[in-house]
This record gives sequence, C-alpha cells and structure tokens, in this order.
Amino acid sequence: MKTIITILLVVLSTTAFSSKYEETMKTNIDKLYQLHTSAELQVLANQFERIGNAEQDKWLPNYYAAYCFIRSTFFDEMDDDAKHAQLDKAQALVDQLMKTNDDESEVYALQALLYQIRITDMSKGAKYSMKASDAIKQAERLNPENPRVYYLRGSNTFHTPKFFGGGAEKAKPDLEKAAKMFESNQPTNPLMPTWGNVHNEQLLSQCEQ
Amino acid sequence: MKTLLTFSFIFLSVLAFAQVNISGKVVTKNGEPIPGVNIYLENTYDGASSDGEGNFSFETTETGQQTLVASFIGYKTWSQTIDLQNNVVLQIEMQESVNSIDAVTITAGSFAADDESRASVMKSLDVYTTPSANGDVMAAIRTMPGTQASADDGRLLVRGGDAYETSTYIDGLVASKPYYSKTPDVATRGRFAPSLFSGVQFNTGGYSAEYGQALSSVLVLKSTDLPEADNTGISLMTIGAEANRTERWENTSLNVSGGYTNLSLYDKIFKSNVDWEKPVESVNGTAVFRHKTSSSGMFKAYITTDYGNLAYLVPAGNDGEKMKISSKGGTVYSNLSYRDCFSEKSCYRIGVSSTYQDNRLGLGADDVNTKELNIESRFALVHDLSEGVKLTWGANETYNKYDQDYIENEGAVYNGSFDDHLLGAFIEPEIKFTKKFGIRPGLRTEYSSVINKMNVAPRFALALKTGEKAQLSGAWGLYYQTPQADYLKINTDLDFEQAMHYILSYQFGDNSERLFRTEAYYKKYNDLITYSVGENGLPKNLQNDGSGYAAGLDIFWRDQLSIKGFDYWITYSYIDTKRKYQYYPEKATPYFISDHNFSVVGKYWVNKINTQFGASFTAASGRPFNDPNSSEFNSERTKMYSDLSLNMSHVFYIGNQYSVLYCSVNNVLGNNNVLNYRPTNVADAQGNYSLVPVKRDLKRFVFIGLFLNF
Repeated sequence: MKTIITILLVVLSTTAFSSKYEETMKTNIDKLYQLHTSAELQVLANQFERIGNAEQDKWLPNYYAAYCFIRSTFFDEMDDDAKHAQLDKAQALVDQLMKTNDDESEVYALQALLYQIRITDMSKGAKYSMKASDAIKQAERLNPENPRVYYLRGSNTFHTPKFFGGGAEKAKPDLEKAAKMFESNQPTNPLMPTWGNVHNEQLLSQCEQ
Repeated sequence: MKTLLTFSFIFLSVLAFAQVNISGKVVTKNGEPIPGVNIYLENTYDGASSDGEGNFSFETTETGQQTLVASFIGYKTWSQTIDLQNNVVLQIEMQESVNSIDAVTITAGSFAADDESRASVMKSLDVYTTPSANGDVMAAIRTMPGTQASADDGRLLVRGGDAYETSTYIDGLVASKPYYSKTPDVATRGRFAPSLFSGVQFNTGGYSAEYGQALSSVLVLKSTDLPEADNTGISLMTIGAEANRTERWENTSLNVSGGYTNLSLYDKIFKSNVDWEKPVESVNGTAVFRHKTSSSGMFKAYITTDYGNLAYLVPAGNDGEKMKISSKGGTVYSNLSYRDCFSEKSCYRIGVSSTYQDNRLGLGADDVNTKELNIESRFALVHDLSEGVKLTWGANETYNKYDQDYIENEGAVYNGSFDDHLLGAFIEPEIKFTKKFGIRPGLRTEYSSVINKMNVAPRFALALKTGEKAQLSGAWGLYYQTPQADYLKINTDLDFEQAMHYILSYQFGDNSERLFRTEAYYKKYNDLITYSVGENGLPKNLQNDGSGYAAGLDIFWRDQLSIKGFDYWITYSYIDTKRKYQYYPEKATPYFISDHNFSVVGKYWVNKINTQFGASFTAASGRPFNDPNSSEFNSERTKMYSDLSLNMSHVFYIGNQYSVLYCSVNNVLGNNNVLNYRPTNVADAQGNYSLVPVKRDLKRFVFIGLFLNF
C-alpha cells in the first residue's frame, strides 16, 4: 500500500510538475508571437529566464528568453546602442546554451539570427555575416531538415552587398527551399521553435520585385 | 496513514491559497531606477520584471525561507534570503559590473584596425580599399597619425623613431623581417598579405609589457581564424599574377597560394625615376593551416617564402658616374601558434616563429652577403582573478644568428657575425576599479646574451571614462632595444638603447559613427648608438652615447555617419624631434622627419553600378637634409611632399562567386618633388660635395588588377 501510494505520489507530482512546465511554456510561447512592443517582450524574456532557472535540465526556456530579447529589437525603433544591449543579454543566454546543448541545431540557428541582427550598420556587416554563416553551417550539420537553416542563409545572402557576393537573386534558392520546409517540416513537439516563416515570405516577395 | 494523507492534502491546499506579495524598487547606488531587471524566487517560476521606474511586484505561493534574486546584464547579480511569512517590500540596490561591455578600455597609444575591439579606429577591409595602400598593410597604417609619409622608405616611421624602432608581431610572435629588403633610394613594402589578418593593432607608444625590443612602436597583427568556405582565386595584375586555393573542412582549413611579380613591362611603359637594370622580379608561396581543437582551442600554422631579384643604377660621383645596386635573396617565415583555455578563467597562448633570410646585396663592385636566422618561442597566460582583475604574464626566448661577409672588390673580406639569446619575461595586471576607471601596471625584464646586459622596464597605463562615449587615457613606460645587427657585428661591448614614453590621449565617439581622437606625447631617448665613420666606410668607435627627444600631437577624425555610403578619415600629426645618434655630429632632426603630416582618406560606394570609389590625399612638410657644403648639420629643408591617389573597385559575378576589377592611380597630379638629397661620398676638385636627389621611383603608378573567385 505504502509503495503504491509513494509511486502514485511520485507519478502525480512529476506529471503535475512537467505539465506545469509544458503549460507555462506553451502559454508563453503563444504569447510571444502576439507581442509587438519591445518592453513586453523583455518582460516575457525575463519570464522564460525564470522558468529556465527553475528547470535547469531544460534548454527551451533559455532559448526562448534569448529569442525574446532578440525579437524585442524588432519593435519600437530602438537606437543601435539599445539594440546591442538587448542582444548582449541574448548572447549571454546563447553562450550558456552552447555549453549545455551544442548538439542542438536550433541553438546554432538562434546564434545565427543574433549575429544577423547585430548588423546595425555597414561596418559590422563583414564580421557578423561571416559569423552568422559559420553558425548556419553548424545548424545545418546538426539537422539539415531545419527550415531556419535555409531561411537564415537566404536572409544572410539577401542582405550581403553585391560587392561581397550577396543580393536578392543569390538569396532566392535558399529562401524557396526554406518556404517548402516550413510547410512540410512542422514540429511534432508544440514547444519547439517555429519562427522565421513570416520573414522568409517577406524576403521571397521582395525577391520577386 | 489515511489521516496523514488527508492532512497533507489539506495542508497543501491551504498552502496553495496562502499567497504573499513581494514588491519593491530596483535602483543603482545613486538611487536611479533600473528598468528590465529580472526579480524572482530561486528555483521557482515566480517573479517579475522591474518597470520604467524600477518598480516590481509579484505574488507567490511559496513559503518559508526563500532566496530572492535580481539579475540584469551589466550588473552584479543580487540575492538575499527572505522569509515569506508576510508580504515583503524592499529596495534592491544593484552594483554595476566592471566587466560589462561598455566598461573602460585602455587605449592610450593604440590604434586598432580590428572588427572586434572597441578601441578600433580602422577595419581590416580598409587595408584593401585605401587608395594609397595598394594592398600593403604598412601603407594603410601610414594613414594613421604619428607616422611619417616617407614615400622613399615604405616602412613605418613612428613618432620620431627610425624604422628599426618598430617591431611587428603576428599572433603574438615576432616577425623579424616584416618588409622586403630595403635598398637605398627605393621604397619597400610589407611582406605579409592583408587577407591573412582579421585585426591590426598599431601601437604608437605606451604599449603593453608583453612587448619588448621596440623603442617606438609595436604593430600587432592578428591572423584570421577558419575561412568561410572552399574557394579558388586567381589574380591578374599589371605587375604580376597570383593564385590561391582554400579548402575548408568542419574544424580544419588549408590555404595555399603563390604569386609572381615582375615590373619589367611596367618599367618599359612608364618612365621611372629609378634607372633600373633589372626591375623587381619576385616569386612567393604561402601555406596557411588552421585546426580548431575545441570550442576554445585553435592551432594555426603559417609559412611563407619568397625570392626576389632587382638591380638599378644610382648616381655616385660628381660627373654622372653611376653605381650599381643589386639585391637578390630569399626569405622563409613560419609561425606556429596554439591557444586554448585551462578553464573559463585561465587561458594560454604558446607559439614559435622563425625567420631565415639569405640576402646578397651588391653595392657597386662590393658584395655584401648576409644570412640571418631568428627563432622566437613564447608563451603567455591570462587569468581572470576576480571581477575586474585580469593578470597576464609570460616569457619568450628569442635566438638571433647573424653572419655577414663584406667582400670588397679588391678581394678583402670582412666578416661580421654574432649570436644572441634574448630572454624576456613580463607580468601585467589589469585592474578595473569601476566601470569607468582602470589601470594597467606592467613590468618587463630582458636579458641579451650578446651584450651580456639586463634591463627592467616598468610600464603604466590608465583610462578614465569621462562620458558615455568619451575617455581620457594616459601611459608611461620604459622601452629597451638591443643594438641593431649592423653595430653588433662590429662591436658587442654595447648596452640597450632606451626610450621613455609619456602619452596623454582623449577620445570621443564611436568608430561605427564618428570618432575623434587626439594624443599628445613626449618621448625621451637615451643610450642611442653613436659612431664615427672609418676610412673603409664602416662604423667605428661605437658607443651608447646618443640621446634625443620627440614631442608631438596626433589628431584623428573618422566619420561614417554624416553622408550615407560615404566614409572618410582625416589625420594630422605635428612633431618636434631632435636626436644625436649614428654619425650625427650634434643633435639634429633626422632626414626622414616631416614636422607636419596630413592625410585624408575617403570612400564612396555606388550601389547602382556595384562600384566603390576611393581617394586619399597625403601632404607632408619638407624634410631635413644635410648639405656637406654647409656648416650646420641637417639644416636644409626639401620642398613639401604631396600625393593624391584614386581608386575604384567594381564587383561582378562569375556563377555564384563575386570577382573584383580594381584600378588605382597613385600620385594623380604627378607631383615629382625631390623627397630628399643624399650626399655623394666623393668631393670634386674644388672640395665641394654634390647632392643626389631622391625622388619617388615612379612619377605616377597605375595599377590594374582582376581578382577572380571561383
């Protein structure tokens, strides 16, 4: 009897706990794509970081925290210094993820995105597009089915000046490949990342012009 | 059992409803609110972010003793144990972390062309796109303040210092022959291709204790890590051709390249000021290997070799007599380095570099055959001791072997040779007391076996942030250098030459937008080598009897913001310097010094036609020269020097790879001023010495190159 109760309690508490994790994560992830101000996204990033601190064996909370900080720079017409301050926060989290989960394609994809957003002026272009390209390569090696690999590579090429081998024309094949993969490779785990599709479509439509 | 269960369920549900509120405000130590701080109970999901006024508030169902944490980038993480009996209200005071990215960096005397460093004033790509540079790292650096225009030299002459006073390092290891062999009247250029480097740090003085054996300046080149992808490149130029191939594997890369340069065709088309008998012809080969051993470990191997041949005639006597100068020789340079970390807080670098040069110089009927070998082994360790305190220490052993035969026409042979083991060690803590104030005291000591002397060189640098983007830096230090081989081959009973630097620097702005920088310096030389010229033309009576000073002001301004697509920088240097050294009878300003140096470089990218246009203009006031017929030494001045160079780079595609068509014209205006006068050694019948004018070797230099990538 005692053993059964113990087992029952353990099972109950773990499922209760993990569902709390999954529930909280799912709610916050859904919220993430609805937010359109940088202040709200930073608050949400902190929320993900707290989950990450409590769930040390999970990598997705810190992943989303970093993504929120990166995404927070898309809104409110932040100045460059403020952008880099947010990206520094994101980078600190990505650095942690690189230590614990360097076999995860999505971590490298996120790193690549972060590097791309670092390019706030021409002078940073060469350095960060190179770094992004290295990260994309790692992401591809770890999972060639990750649609963000091709979206990020396309975006990298798209924004690279023609002087250095970039441009819309060169970017198109990768963006098209990404579009196909976003369609076909939907994640089975609802907590897994799905970002990139919208911007990919935007870039593709710019290629058509 | 049942009761126990029921009891605990009740207890649990009671807990679930027992909520307490935690609220408060997060401020700096000056009481200013910090927004965006993450405040939470450790190991729970409960927490909040501080708002614009620094306020926060959240509910929790946790009870008892819990740890409340406040964390925010750029600040030390705050934590405190709190008791959750009742609602908690508290003020959290956070302290700035001195390791934050916008913390002070020590920059006095240092001009970095690095994509990483915040002290950076130039980017590595600038080396390629600066019109006056023609792909030479050293020439691009000469657009920085503190350098001399010196169109007839080609080497870096920094803040009054002679060419030998600047040392070049690649990945922390010395490159003892950074230039092609220098022959009289003809400018040389840097040996190392700019594509190898991702960063250049040009120290015009006050540099770190890590570096010794340089009285004036240290140029630190940082090589690139793994290249991006496989690539084949072919370059066709008006002066030669090059080819290279890069292979990239996951953690490893190999690059091999080779080139051939021949100026004969060029010499036939354009009239040269130099009377060439054998225009410059050279071949070179380079291999670069990289292997990443872990996330922090990187092994690099670099080997480059070249062989060159040239000969020309210079006026020697008074009646159109000519003397032939020729130079033939090969050089091999290799650099092996490895860097890794023992832990997150301790990293190290080790490496070996070597240079071997075999050079045959012909001076008229005499031959000078010189063999030089330089091998340096070096290690350095960097420890993060505590927040804001970093300690760097290391040591090096540098072996120099020199063997020269001076063969006179008559058959007499003078041999000069020596061996030197130079041992050096340094220790240098860097302490940031606050985010705004840091110091870097350092100590270096060296022992040179050939002169059997030791030196101790203290250094000190500090930096103070005076505003968000403004900072004041200062540096002081003692710098020693073993006498040059030209003297040691004759006499080893000498001591180190010495210089003391004082630098004050102020910087405002950001390199990616607008940056202003000004530096004032004073440099005092002691124990410089002096000699008198013996009858055979060789130095005699060598002594550490010279001294001198250099004082000046350097100004740098760069602006990439004001006009879209347009980027320019302006530098101005003023110098007042005199020294007694070499054969100088008294303190005088050396022949390579212009008191005023001015340069401006501008670039504009035209997107429509995929082309970048660049222009650079350099002007320098007249240089001293010695008229042996005058009673005062080095008292005459040449006319002012100026140079306007233009370039364009057009980008196009072959398949998926971009290629570049590059064209540049140096000295567009065809200014053919005399750069300096060299006295002849022989007096005419009336006892007067004539002067040989030295001009730039080509009045105009037109360069066209096609750089193809596949």
